[in-house]
Amino acid sequence: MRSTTIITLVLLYFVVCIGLSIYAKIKTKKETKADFFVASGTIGSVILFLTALATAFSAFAFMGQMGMVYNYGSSAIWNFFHYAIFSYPLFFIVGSKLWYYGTKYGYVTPADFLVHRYECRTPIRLIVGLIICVYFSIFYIVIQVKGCGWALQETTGISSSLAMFIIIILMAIYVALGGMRGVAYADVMQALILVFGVLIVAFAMIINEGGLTNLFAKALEVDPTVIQPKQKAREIISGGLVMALSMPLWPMIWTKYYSAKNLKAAYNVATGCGLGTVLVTVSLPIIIVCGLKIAYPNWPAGKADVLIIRYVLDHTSAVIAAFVVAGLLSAAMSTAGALLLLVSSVFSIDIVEIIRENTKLQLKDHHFVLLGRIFIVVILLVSFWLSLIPMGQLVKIGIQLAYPGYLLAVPVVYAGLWWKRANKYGAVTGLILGLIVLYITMFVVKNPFGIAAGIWGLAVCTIGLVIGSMVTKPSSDNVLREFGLLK
Amino acid sequence: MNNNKYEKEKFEYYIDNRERKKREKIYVLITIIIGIAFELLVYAMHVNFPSGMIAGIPVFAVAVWTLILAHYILFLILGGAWVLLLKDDDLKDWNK
Repeated sequence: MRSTTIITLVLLYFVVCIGLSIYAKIKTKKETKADFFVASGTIGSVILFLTALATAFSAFAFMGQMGMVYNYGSSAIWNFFHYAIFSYPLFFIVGSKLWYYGTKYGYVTPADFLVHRYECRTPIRLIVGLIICVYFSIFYIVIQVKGCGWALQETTGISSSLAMFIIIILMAIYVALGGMRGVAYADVMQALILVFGVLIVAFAMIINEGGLTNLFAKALEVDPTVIQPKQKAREIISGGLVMALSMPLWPMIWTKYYSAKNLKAAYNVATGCGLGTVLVTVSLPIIIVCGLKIAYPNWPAGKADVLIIRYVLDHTSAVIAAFVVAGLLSAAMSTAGALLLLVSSVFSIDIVEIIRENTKLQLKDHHFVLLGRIFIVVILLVSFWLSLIPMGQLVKIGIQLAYPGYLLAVPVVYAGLWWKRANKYGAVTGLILGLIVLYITMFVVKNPFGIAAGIWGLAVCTIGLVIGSMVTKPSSDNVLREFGLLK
Repeated sequence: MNNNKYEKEKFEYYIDNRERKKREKIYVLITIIIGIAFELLVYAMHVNFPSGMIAGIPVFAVAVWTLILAHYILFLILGGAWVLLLKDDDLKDWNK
């Protein structure tokens, strides 16, 4: 009975996702590449608020961050608090500029802006498109698929591979059918389920323990160090800065600026991500970690990320469990959907542009849309295959370098917007050196002096960008005028 | 509506706008000040966790919730609208 209720509600969730995508497809008047990948800059404030919230918070936010608070106490809370403190200026100031230029020049991929500003095609498209957007992102799709597969296996009893295959099919339908508009509509529902899913867990814990004060008191009895910090300050500060400074330029968030209808909608990318930070990553984990400590006081640290789902399955009713599982599926699928669209746009536009430059290939808008759909299916099949095999070294590199890798875009975008001396030689030098140093500080000499690898990559990328730009000739006057850097 | 006829005005309003640039600088400066204060707080909490003062989790929880909610409302919702001149943005011809 319990299993049937959960399966029914999860199926209902799947049907609504596909229904919203069909609605998006019907609403689309003419399918162009800008419409398919960034909804032609027509998404309004409310939808963008919710889609940003859903995209920014993945299966990791739902499960992994709760596990981190369980393992590291208030260290993890302070780590996530960095999002709130340092992300906002980047969201507003850089995001509004990217929205303006994206709307004016019809950008679709993150590389489009950099290619235009730096007058550099193939190297930028290869580094930003293929390495930063595709290589670092595709394994995150795999993680989301695995997270969904695990949740469905635990709740319904079907095998993990079958569960992942169902998720793949569902995502192929709803992303390929509706494009950015379909993903955004589905994200509206997913953001609401995600937030309410986490809220329900917190309330269930408060009710189960007889009130908030009792919950806190019992958690302290079980583990008096429950909120004491368990990491070094420099690890928290540098790790928090890597996540917070990179977040507004995560590629799947970056394309949201292009899809904004107006400045107010672009502003809501920040308020959406900000609300997620306030609720999902900082406020509610304080309650949830107490409930988890009471229920599972000696859970192995390495498996702490599964605790939240374990709790709802063991301690709540079937309806609540189904809602929370749907919350996890929402967190995972909204992030995977945005990443899928991003990776597909990079293949369909960045890579095809490189091929077009070197051949006489002529493509029309509908060809790009068709290519986008084909790539979505191909990427999902590759993701399914990757999710079935053991994670090798290449996969580990991709996952661990992702967010520090996204951080390398910060100096390149900043300089592109405000420093007229910044040019393609500096940008390419900075990106290549940054990637090399990131790899070294992540895997060879791990986090030197206890400072996160991303900070070293950021510093070297910035130095490379400045020196490379200073010793070579600047960008053309025409481009500098287009970006307001020359009168 | 033909938005192309507004291109010059939009560029001057969104990019080459003295008031916007001034507000952006103030916003960044305040962020840096809050950021330094925040990092000092994080450092202090890690070097010497005030177990005596934070006898129970509620004190810690209420402090964190108050800080993050106040920051979200004042600095993100209100501050963000201020720095982006959103109030004026609604009145522009191209948004009507």
